[in-house]
Amino acid sequence: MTEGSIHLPGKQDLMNSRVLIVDDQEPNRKLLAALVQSMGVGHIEHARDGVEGLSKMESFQPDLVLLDIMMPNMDGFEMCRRLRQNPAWKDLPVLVNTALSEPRERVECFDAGATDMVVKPLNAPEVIARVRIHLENRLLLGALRQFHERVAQELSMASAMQHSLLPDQARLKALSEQFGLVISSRFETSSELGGDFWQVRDLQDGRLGIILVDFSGHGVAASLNAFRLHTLLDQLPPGNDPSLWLSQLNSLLKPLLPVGQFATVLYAIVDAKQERIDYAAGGAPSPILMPPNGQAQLLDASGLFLGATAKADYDNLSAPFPAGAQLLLYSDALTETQGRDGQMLGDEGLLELAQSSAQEPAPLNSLMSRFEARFPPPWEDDLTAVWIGNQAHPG
Amino acid sequence: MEHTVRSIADGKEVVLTGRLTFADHNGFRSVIAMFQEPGNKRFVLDLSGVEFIDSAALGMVLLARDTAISKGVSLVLKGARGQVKRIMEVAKFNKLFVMED
Repeated sequence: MTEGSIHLPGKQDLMNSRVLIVDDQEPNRKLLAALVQSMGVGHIEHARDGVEGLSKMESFQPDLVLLDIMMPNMDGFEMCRRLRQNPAWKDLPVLVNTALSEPRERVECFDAGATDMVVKPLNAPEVIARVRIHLENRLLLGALRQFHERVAQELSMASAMQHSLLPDQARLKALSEQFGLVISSRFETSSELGGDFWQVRDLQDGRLGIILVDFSGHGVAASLNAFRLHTLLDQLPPGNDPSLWLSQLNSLLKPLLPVGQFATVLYAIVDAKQERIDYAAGGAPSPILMPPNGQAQLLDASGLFLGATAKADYDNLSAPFPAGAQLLLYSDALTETQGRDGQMLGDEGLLELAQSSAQEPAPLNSLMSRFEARFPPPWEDDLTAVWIGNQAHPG
Repeated sequence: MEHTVRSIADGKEVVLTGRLTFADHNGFRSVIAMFQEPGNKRFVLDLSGVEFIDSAALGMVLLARDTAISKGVSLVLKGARGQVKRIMEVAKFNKLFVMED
């Protein structure tokens, strides 16, 4: 076992275990306590009936209850039923010891919420064996829970780090004003971490570069690739020639990626004043271009995936982007997520959805809420959507 | 994913059917392992029965290509249709593989 893995309980660990013995007969309580003590259990408490048993649950916090059935005031059935009503005791092992031996009566014990039972007259080795199994399960469950909590905490921190790689709202707003654009975005990972990535760059010549990348797979491994990419952007800042930049990025990324891992990529340079988009792509979902008063269309984003081959060439493409035009860039979760009927939206479906959202005051919000209605989250793949509108007026 | 194998001249044809996804990792590895067998010079992956391929499975196809190149085996992708054909066109697989209808 390596450090950080789950700790399996041993005999020593029973020192910290707590057992509550509920029985109206003192000799029975003493016998059970002696057995439990012989196992090394460190904390033992007694109760004479169900009422006293319940009253000691909160203060004693048992890991296991040894419960007699026939007792005055409140019998074992009733105590068991009542403690199961408290969610905190839902998984607590309750080991019933009973003289009832009819199958129907045994079923009644389990119906009341008993975990297991031993039949009187008690057989000492059997009692010890059953108590041990349930206490060890309890310890294992606790260890698992701790492990789960630790991993959840680490993933939550890592998720915040991943979100910090993306442009935040304030930056988008500032860039939007500076470049005469309206930019809005959505970024959702299918688990805590994901393999989608997007970024914007001021190219210092009045144009804005937008990068959208989707690494194959999702989860922790894919997100590590997204972090790698983010580091490479400093080494190789997105330049003025989209196809050249993709080719250079591929050469840097290929040696870092295990064979079989790759990314779809799109690098677009938006020029609001000159009213055009120049871009290059590697196997990305087709961007959707919505002219001000015309039919939305899918742009060609075919090309080799980043990481597919050591050397890759890409094509420079361009499209008109007049004032009032809008552009949707996205990862394939939008088109390939399956609805309850197994159907996917597909390119054409998304094209329709985008076209009909284009006139709304907040087009991306409108598109996403209609998407969510038809394809309710959680989604199985990471989802990125970036909506860009040209607000600039010529001259 | 289901797969069946039949012998062809100087190699094997592997017919894949169903949805090809991350879940088929092990099945696909066993197909790639056949590249190592002596006497196989040519592999044809028949994709005509594959209705959907996800990005993880595309990665496995790229892995197959890498292995084929290193073993000196020629690899042919045959009969892709529907979503499989579209995504392989978008990814320009024709630049990486011999594609047959």
